[in-house]
Amino acid sequence: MDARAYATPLILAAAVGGSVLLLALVQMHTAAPIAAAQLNAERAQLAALLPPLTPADHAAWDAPAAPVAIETGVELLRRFRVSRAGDTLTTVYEVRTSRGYSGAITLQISVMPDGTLRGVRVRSHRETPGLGDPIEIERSNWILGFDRRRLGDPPRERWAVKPDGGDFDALSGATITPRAVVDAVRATLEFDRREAAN
Amino acid sequence: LNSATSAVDGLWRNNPGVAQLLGLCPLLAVSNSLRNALGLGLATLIALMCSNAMISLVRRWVRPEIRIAVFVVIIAATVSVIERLMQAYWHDLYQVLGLFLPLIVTNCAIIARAEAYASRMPLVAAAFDGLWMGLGFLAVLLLIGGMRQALGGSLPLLLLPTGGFIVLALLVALKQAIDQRVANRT
Repeated sequence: MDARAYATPLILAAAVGGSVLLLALVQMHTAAPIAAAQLNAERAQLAALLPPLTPADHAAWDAPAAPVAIETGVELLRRFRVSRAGDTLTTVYEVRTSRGYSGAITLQISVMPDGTLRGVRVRSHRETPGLGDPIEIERSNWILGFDRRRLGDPPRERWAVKPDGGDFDALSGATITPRAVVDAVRATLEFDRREAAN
Repeated sequence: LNSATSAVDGLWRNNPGVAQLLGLCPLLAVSNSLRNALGLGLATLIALMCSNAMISLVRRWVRPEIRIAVFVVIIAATVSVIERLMQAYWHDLYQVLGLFLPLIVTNCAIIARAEAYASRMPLVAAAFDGLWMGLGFLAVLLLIGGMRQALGGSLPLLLLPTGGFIVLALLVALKQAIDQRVANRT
């Protein structure tokens, strides 16, 4: 073989090696900042669902070994409990519903000890941009419609979107998405009451 | 090619978005709001400049039979670096762009510039070509994003992928109309 036949793969190998080296360097320098930024983003989202905390408060995630089905298509992934001097202030349930229009919707649902909603936020979803995504707080105030609600307000048969005869607004062009969210919130509240009764 | 023709090329005559019709996948997918358009446009601009510069630097050693493979490796590395940096230092924007950042690798506007320009030109010219082409792409993204965001409230169709195609088609038609007018006059 002539020198040219060796040179070609060597050049390709050098290009790949150089790229790998560059990526490794960048990875080394960004791993810590990325972890910190992710934690910050997670905390910032959660903070909107919590009361003002003091350093003495106890707050921690606890997760079941596997997601717990709390209703057909609605699973509890983990929950975040905040307590002060032994009393629970708030529980944030992270639940995933598979009843959305395209794929799973993950919600964080903050419930006070008396069963009243402190608030709800969408953590991730794959609904249609422009139609289903007003469930995000960044796009519309729709999700704030859950604030201060509880089981009984509205009554069970009106825990639904308006096209189904309920109290919650639907989104123009998307009914399945808000229906999935309303059902998941209602299921979580019922689960919370069952837990509280135990 | 001097810098002025390079600018006219990138912004108008050979604009990646409305003349070469390259990189339409991210263009249509992320242009439903001004903020997304700006984020993706800037990320693409930086990726295009860096990859053009690096490809120009290695052009003497890259043999024709493996050039595409080398270009792809360089572009992928560049985009990965940008993604990591954005994830670390500009996390808000990273969360918005998410999936579309790695997709910059598949933006054929970048490999097209590498092949057609950067692999034959000295470093500075290649970097400027990346700048102007990137600005041209950014401008189209901003125009489409702005129009879809402004009119999407009253016409939700515009926010769906369909709307992206329609707005892009209108822009392409507008550019052709203007070009034709100018051609007729001279």
